[in-house]
Amino acid sequence: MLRTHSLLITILLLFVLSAVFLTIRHESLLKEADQTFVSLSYLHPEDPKDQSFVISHRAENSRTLEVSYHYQNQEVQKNTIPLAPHEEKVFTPESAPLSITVRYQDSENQEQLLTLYKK
Amino acid sequence: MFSLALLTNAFLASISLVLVLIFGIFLPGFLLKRSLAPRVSFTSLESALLSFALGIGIIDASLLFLGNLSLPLNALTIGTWYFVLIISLFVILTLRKIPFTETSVPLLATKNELCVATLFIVLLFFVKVFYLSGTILPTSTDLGHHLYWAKLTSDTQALPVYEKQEIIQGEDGHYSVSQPEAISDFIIGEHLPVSFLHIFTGASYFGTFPILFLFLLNLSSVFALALLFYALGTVLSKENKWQYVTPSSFFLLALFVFGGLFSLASPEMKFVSGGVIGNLFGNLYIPLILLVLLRALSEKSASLLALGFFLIATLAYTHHLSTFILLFVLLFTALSLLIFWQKDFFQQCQTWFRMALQPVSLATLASILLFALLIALPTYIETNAVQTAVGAPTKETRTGLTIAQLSLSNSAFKFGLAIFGLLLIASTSKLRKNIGGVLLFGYGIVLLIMTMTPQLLLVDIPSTRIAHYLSFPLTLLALFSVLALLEKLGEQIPKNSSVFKNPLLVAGGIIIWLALIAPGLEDNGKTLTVNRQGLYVQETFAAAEYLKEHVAPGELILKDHNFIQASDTWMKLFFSQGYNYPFSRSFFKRYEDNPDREHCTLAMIATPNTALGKQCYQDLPVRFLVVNPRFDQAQFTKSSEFSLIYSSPNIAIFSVKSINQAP
Repeated sequence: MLRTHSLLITILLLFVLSAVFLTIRHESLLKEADQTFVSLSYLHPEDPKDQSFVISHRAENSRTLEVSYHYQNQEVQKNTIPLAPHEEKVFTPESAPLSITVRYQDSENQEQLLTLYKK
Repeated sequence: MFSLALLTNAFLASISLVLVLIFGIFLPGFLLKRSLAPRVSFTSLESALLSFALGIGIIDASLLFLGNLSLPLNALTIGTWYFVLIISLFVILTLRKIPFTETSVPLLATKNELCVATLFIVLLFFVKVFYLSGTILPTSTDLGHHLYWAKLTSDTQALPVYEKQEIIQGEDGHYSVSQPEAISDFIIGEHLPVSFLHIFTGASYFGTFPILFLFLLNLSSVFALALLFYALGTVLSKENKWQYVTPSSFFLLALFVFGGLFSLASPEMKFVSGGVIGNLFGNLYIPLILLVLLRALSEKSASLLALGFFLIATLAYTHHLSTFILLFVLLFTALSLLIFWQKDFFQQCQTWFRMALQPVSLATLASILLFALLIALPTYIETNAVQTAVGAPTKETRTGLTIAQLSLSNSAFKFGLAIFGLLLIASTSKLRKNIGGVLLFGYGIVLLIMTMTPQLLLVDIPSTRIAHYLSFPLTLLALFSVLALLEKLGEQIPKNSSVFKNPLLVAGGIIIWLALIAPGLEDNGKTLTVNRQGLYVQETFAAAEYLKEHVAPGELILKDHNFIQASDTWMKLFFSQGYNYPFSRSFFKRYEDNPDREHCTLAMIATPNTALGKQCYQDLPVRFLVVNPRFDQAQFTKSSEFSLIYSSPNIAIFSVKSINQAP
């Protein structure tokens, strides 16, 4: 019986092993990727007056970001914000800026620049 | 990255998938096979493959039946139905005194053959899994499209209605979103098994189970091809009294070539990672149907014919193009039989006709017809898909491929050997009088004509799509040529002498092996590319999650398909608001090739400040645009109409200030 069904048993075992391996691979690829980027978004995009925004920090390690508010009179207000791993922070500028820019170094030490503006 | 929790979760997810596959697909399929063909002997691999293919047919039939009764397609309803079905099949088997287990026929004769087969299977898994490890993430455009329908079925617990809305221009020149229109490209049978697996495993559509299921389909198709070649080898070697080449050699060679050498490029693993579901079903069912019909006709078994009918019906409800191809293969095999056998053909036909009139085959055929009439017809019969595939070729891409193009995708050596195989069958009386030989001839010649000169058969389908089907019979014909040559060479060696004593034969053998292995490895090598898209997938999904929270009813989203790095077609799974939601700026070529196509989706992203762009924004309630900021940003920054509300390195979302709220 074992000889008759040995090919089938081999295939079943290899399929289970492949499924386990590919599932681990899938999860680790996504997890790895999820730890490498930052996103910047308005909290209430539908309300033109509400300038509250969210920085989602998807990283295992801490990171310092530079947040700049650009105003109509060309004034730029800069803040340095430390973010813990996987921290999500909401900010509300005191007066409405023309645009908001976040500058940070990504995991490959490349400078990334993200911007938001409401018109 | 690697943790015990991850390993445990992966193991549990895999085991739950395997259990659902065994109890939801293999077991019902096995019981149906036992009921229809209790006295036919199968090898264990044949039995498993047939059970799998029949089990998929049972899923399609069951879900179509339950869905048409307006019963909710959830675990409770389907589980209860399956419980009743399995018990009924057990009762039928008991009443007919058919044992639940079957005695399998050994596939391989010796221990050495078993070892070689095991080695080839390990190689097959190694090559395929290595390829999949780089493409396992949910990035494929086609898979995103298909899984929308599978998810819709499980979310709504009802059969999906294949419809989509498009942007159209009215007679007054204004643009609007059309009423839902039927889609003929999708067939319900290719989505129901995926929904079924989700319902019972609870696994996410964004996880690995869809790809693992497609992988299983591909594995099954490799074994189906090897078993078809084995069956051909059995018929051919028996009737031609071959002494040196055994049916096992047919199986092993096919397993090595399909599983190890030409195992990645289209239509194999590339179709798995690309989510070409329908073709993968076709690649399994066509060889399996040919195998069952070959055995039915050569063994004159009505039970096998009944299994063949059920498999053909399953394919008809699963993939239209494969069904179309299969019909041509069967038609040309019959035609070849008529030409090669002449009077004998009509005598055989009488025997086969009597076989078809046996209760088991007749009852199966009647049940299929009743199902089609009372429950559901294949969706493409109700739309115009059949008419669009028949007729003189309407585009340049449908007028056939040249020999050079075919040799390029199939390797010149393989192509040459296949042509030699065709000529060998046609010119050798023993081979052309053999049903196996004629089937192989019919399978190869019809696909060769359909690929190279489709106008002869009034086929209006892209030639490259048909070429994917051709690669299988071409390989089988090439392998048949190799084995026929080996048999002839073997016959030249005096008895009690070893082949290794003849240096010419040894050199010839090595050259043939190298000529076969080299293009196979090249084929695999070209397909293996490192593609790390995890970051892009995550960015796209994060943007879709954000939009899901902020888009209001009646508002539209437009995304770009050209520059968003990955998974943009998967965004529709987050919203479930229609097949075309979010709307998409298609590939630029599509607008160039078809000037009559709507251009709003192009203008609203590429040139929003032109007259057309402004009119489209005025007419359509588009609230959000999803683009890659590295390619599409300046045109929105310049305008006072757009706000940049979401930003990540490769995805930007713009909102439109004033939109027409009327949908």
